[in-house]
Amino acid sequence: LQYNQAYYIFGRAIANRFCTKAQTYQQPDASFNKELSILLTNIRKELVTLLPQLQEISNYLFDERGKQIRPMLVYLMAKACNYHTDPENKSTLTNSQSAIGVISEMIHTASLIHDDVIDAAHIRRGKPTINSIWGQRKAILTGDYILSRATIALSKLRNERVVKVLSQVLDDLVQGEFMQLGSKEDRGERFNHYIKKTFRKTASLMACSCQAVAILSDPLNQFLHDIAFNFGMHFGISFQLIDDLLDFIASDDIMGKPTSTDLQLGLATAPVLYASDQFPELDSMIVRRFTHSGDVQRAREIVDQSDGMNQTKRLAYFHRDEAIRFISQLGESIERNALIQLSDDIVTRQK
Amino acid sequence: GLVNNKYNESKAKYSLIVLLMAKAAAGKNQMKGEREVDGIYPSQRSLAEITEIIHMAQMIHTGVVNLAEPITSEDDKELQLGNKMAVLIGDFLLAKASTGLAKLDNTQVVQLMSEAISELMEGEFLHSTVHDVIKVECKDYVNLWKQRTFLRKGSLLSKSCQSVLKLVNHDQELQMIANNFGRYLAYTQQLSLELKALQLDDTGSQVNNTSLTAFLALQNCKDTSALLTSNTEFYKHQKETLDEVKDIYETFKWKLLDYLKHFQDGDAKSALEKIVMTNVNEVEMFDLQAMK
Repeated sequence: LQYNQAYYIFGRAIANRFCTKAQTYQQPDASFNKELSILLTNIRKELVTLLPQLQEISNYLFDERGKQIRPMLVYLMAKACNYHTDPENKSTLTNSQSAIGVISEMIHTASLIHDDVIDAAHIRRGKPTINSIWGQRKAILTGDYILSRATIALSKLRNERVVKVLSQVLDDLVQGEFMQLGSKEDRGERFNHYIKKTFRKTASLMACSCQAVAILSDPLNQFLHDIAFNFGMHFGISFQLIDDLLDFIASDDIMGKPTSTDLQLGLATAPVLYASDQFPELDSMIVRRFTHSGDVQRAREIVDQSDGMNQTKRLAYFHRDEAIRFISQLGESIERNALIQLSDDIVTRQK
Repeated sequence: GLVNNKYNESKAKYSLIVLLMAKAAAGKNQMKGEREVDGIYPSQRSLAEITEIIHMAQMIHTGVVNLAEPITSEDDKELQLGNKMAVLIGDFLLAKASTGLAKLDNTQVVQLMSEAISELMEGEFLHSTVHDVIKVECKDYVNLWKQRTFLRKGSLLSKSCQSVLKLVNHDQELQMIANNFGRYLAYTQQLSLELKALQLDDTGSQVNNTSLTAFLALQNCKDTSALLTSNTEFYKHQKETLDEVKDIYETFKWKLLDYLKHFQDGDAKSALEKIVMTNVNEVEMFDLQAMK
């Protein structure tokens, strides 16, 4: 079973165990899979252009290979909110909510394309990057194209609030990238800087997409919007923490992209930052961004010896628990329980 | 006054044109709530600024030069850093434009301006060189040139002119006139630029051209190989083609002045007329003999 299918059936099994009411919905598995398969079709519709090369490049990363966490998140959050707002109705997804899934996946992919140019990456999701095939210039312009079409789709929802919420993400993404360029000398500030950067680069999109579907579900219920946002934020942070952890653990064939990439890019993530508490020799390596020969290797060794990875895991668990704490305040539904299960899955995953 | 007479009107920035358009249309709408200054509302000023920001981002992102990866030489490493900054700064500007647009609380304007950005990017993939054009073998080269110029320049100018009127609820008809005005102004600005480039090229080297002149020469002259090796000498002898270019220019000019008739007389309208005529004078003064 594919990752996302297995996860969904799992979630339902958990829900059945803990549910006290009979849930009389349509088969959620079937409708969920259907949603995912039409997501890609919908994205393609937004990207249609008469220019063949642009068409080819824009469609390139929209294939089955992504983890599609974000669309899953949006889909489940929307349904959980809809149920919370109106338990009597089948919590069907509105077209606008469905569009949020499309839009956030497009924003995410556009930012990946630019990231690959900035990092001079050659592999993404197991195939060559756009910049390595078509050059940096076209990669940048295609990223801009995808982003602009996402904004067009967003504006067509005719909801000024939702437009504001998702536009903020673009700002956060760029700020996060700038934050990654700079660094804080002071050890005390370093970790906060890292978490803030993590929020901007990863969690912001998730938090804002969740908030957007909550707004669409019930425009006046601020409580709902806050829950959705906070869930997305903690979910996103724990997601990224595990991502940073896996960069140290996983080997090349599982992940689809070469590992120790963070170190090679000069980035000090949670495991390294924690390890530097025990092993101050990491400090100078962090400051010089692991540029001396042997730095990457030595840093890896130190992290392995230290408690850094465990501490990272514990922090991820903390954010998972926070996410669950928030989402549990919604009325109980299959989708809400699935989100709880997903939060846990995120921190126990292997890739 | 809004217009500085020493300003080089043929290079009038997008933001200036957008503001002039706003002012020229002032008084015809029923907008309440915002306070206008000099006939221009704060949201309109914001849009003019956003237009310029988008233009800047376009310049920066399209200015990137491809570097062969993996990057090894020290020189290339510096260029790579330059590219990195170009991506980030361009993204920063586009993000500012997006959040700025969101704040205007007008999703139709967000849509229009985003469509402009999308078209800007599309323009970069359309027939970049004369070789591409020759491969296309089209029948109507003027339209091809217009299409290309529209995507790269006309789209942003036309849609921002339309948006600035839409922001204060001008009627749809006037919005479309503003849109067309912006589009044709972009055509004339592009033409004026191309002719200037032709005039100033004193190296006698190959003119790598996707200019209207080149396109028309292609249409007129059956020998495409001559076009590929063309230089300014070649164009000097294309009197017929150059006359055709001037004629086309005339039609643009009349259209523009026609559009302006729909706006009320005043500073702003005169300034716009001046901008149109400055371009025209440059073209009319274009002299075959003066080509070096």
